[in-house]
Amino acid sequence: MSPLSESAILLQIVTDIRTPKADQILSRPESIGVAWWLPKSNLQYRLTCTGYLLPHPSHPSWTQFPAWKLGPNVEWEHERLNAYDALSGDLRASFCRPVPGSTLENPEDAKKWPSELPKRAEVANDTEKEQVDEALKNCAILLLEPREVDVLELAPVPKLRTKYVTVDECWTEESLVP
Amino acid sequence: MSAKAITGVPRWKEQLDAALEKEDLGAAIQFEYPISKY
Repeated sequence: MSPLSESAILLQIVTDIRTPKADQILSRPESIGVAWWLPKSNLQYRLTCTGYLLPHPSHPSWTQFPAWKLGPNVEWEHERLNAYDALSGDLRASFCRPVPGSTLENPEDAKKWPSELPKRAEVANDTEKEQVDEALKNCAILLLEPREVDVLELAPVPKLRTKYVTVDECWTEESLVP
Repeated sequence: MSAKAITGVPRWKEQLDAALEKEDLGAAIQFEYPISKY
């Protein structure tokens, strides 16, 4: 096993380490399917990836993150914190709410949750500090290493569909029937 | 037509980068080449 080369493509996403999705990724990191529809570009993506989760250092799965493979010289915790700051205020706040997908016994409770949270450097009071600390505990980076990418271009007539496959970081492409 | 080899950055990545310029995702998705970046 050796580190990825400099030309390797990794996609970075931010996710909540408390969700069932995170457990699924950790248990089967090589079997991740991602589907995106990008409406403004009329593109549909289906990716098959290997995933690597980087949670808060106190999380039990933190030791599973293969920094040696993904970038031994990268300060990954710094990357995670910057990823939190780069989110919108609404998304930052989502990390200090109850677990996404859990039962909401009283919908009125949702009105008490913060609608936005500041960046780390813009915390204004102790309450915000606690909320940001909680959000940072739950905010994780998910790095995706795509092995196969299926792109459907919906705008052209006829539509175009292309499958890209990588083996040992070399890509091939093949046209498919849309 | 069978699969053909690609040199350089695959078109799917270029299309994705261009698409993300248009989409408002609140920076929830960021696309990087982390190793070459450092």
